[in-house]
Amino acid sequence: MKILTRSRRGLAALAAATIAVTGLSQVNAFAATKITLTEEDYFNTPGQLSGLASYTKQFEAAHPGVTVKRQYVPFANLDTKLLTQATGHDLPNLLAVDNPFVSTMISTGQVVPMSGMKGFSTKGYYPAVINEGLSNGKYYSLPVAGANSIALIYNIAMLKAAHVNPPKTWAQLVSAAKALTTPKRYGIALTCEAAEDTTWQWEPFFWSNGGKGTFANVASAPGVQALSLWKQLVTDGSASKACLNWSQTPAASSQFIAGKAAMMVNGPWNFPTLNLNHMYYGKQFGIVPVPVRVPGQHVVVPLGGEDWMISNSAGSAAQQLAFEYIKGMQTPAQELKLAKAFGYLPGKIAVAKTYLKQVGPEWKVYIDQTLYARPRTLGLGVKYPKISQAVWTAIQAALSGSQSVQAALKTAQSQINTILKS
Amino acid sequence: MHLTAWRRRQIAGWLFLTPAIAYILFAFALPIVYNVMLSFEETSPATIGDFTAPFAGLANYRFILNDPTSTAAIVHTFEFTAGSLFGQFVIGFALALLFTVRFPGRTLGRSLVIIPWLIPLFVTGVIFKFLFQLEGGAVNQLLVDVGLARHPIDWLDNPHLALWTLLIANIWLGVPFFTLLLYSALQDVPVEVKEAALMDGAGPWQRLRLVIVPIILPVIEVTFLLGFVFTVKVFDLVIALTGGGPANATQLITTWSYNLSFQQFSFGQGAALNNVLLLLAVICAPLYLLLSRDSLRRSSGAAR
Repeated sequence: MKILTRSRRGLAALAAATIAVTGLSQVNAFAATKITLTEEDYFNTPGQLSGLASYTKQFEAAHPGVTVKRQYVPFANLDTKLLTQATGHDLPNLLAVDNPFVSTMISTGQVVPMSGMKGFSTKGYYPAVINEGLSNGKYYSLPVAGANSIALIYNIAMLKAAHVNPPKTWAQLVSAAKALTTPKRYGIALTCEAAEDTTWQWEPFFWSNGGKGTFANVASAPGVQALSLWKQLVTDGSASKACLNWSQTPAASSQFIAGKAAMMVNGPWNFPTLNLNHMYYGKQFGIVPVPVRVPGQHVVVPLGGEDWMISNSAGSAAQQLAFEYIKGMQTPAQELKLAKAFGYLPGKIAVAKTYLKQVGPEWKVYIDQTLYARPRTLGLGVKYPKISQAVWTAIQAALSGSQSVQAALKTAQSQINTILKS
Repeated sequence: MHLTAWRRRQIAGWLFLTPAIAYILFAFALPIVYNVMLSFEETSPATIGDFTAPFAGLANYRFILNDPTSTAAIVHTFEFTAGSLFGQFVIGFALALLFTVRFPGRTLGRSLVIIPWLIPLFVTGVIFKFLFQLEGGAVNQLLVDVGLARHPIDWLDNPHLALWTLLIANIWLGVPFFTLLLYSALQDVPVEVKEAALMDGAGPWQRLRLVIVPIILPVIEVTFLLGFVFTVKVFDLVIALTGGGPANATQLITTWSYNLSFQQFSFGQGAALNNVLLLLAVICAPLYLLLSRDSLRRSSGAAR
């Protein structure tokens, strides 16, 4: 009896293996076979983990025999790990990457376009969200939990005590930051460490002021004015020079939370931490768009967030199944659920409107500006990391005083021109 | 099939050697050869899945020579290494000499000295980042409170100062290594020799310079060489402390080649810069063998 069961089980496994090896294009045939989809990402907040896990459970229940095996890789290592895996043609089936890295993954040729897949649609997404994965007319990515961006977060009590209004223009920002500075705190916490988040923080100032998405005019008026603004905040003493070693989160944000800075430019992912520290929207902190140089300029922010991609390391059946996994997250109900769990904005315009009603007014500025947001790599692709490097180096050079604003941007400009020509 | 005894022994010899040869080939030779290959190729994420990429000639090396950050990184690496070795030697030797003297708490002191060694490099970096912070950093707090500085010093935020701050951190890290090796060398200096020098009327400075140092010189040489190898490849510390900034003022060969390879995805350029390190290793390895063989001969000569 025992032997019989064992051999029967063996037969079933053999059959499953045969099916798996030959590969099936019919989705409904998955019920009969066992398939494991591998997945890699860097999500680590409790909300992100539970949001992702509950969706995966739901997906596995709806697709019997399918297991999604997740592997966590720390943020700092994911890009390197994926590239290493690409050298061995061994990428996971599903990868969730930071959006500036999408172009790099596309250029490896080891991810497949989703635009050809059954059930793919670009309808309803914010242009900036869906265009993150656009390359040669094909779409390679869809958002994981929507998107995010940055705005000016201020301490209500400190502004009230200093009799200043939330700044709308650069001139107001400079005077407000000055008025808010005391021996114990700075007016604003900037981020200017040697990393991408420095360029990302500066982009709204540069882009809203007429800066090009390619940074082709970084040494012209839009760039010089935007960097001079930051430089002035530091020379005024309204922003700490220590920002040269501050990340956006948690370094700059903890300055704000600790009351050592009255304002910061930051994103909605800070809400849970702010609330944990008894800071609530409308009571302790308020949010306005990043100030513009002259009234009437549109605020153009870079778009953050992660995107799903599908690798070609498995056959078309597994690819289609991976797409099913991603597609299931794009329904309005799932989008709302995941955006809440992640602290992001939904990627579709209509869903974002519903979201605003459900989650509260602190999201309004972020949702409104997403319509004018810009994906960082659009038109640049794999050139973006090099250009961003040149930009943050110029910002560091100007703020640390090793070069003048003009000289620093001129250096960056000549590097960027070379990169753009290559 | 009759093999001569000699032939059979030779085959057996090769069989015994095979695992070692295979290990050396795959663990050492292959990565080095691959790195050299990469440096002559035009690599990008697009070529990453192929074993070879288009031949680039000397373009990557030309880039390194013309890229101000790369050349600065090479210069920084030499400054950083020279400064570290000097500081580590002076402090390490002083401590080693101190520990040869009997005093209460000597054993405790000797074990305390090893602590920097036991802390992961990255953790050291983060600790130093807190210590040297512009505002609220312990170092600035102390300097201002004691009156040595009027304003907090921008240790990590000043391009002219940041490399020095790194140097301080790295000296702190390397002192245990120098102390331990030099201390054990000092233990081996024969008492009779020291006593003879004393009898001959040599002062403490003369005894150190003319008797002790010449005896332990082989150990000093090897310690310097090993210290050089450890310092020239420092990476974690810089990443944790400054990330190579401000404005690339603290980029070393290691950090900048990592940046080129894995942040800008120019693997060929990163490999070309990294080969400067390879070149140093190629110079250092035979030198080490020569020195250690030399020191063996000298110490065995001394024993005779």
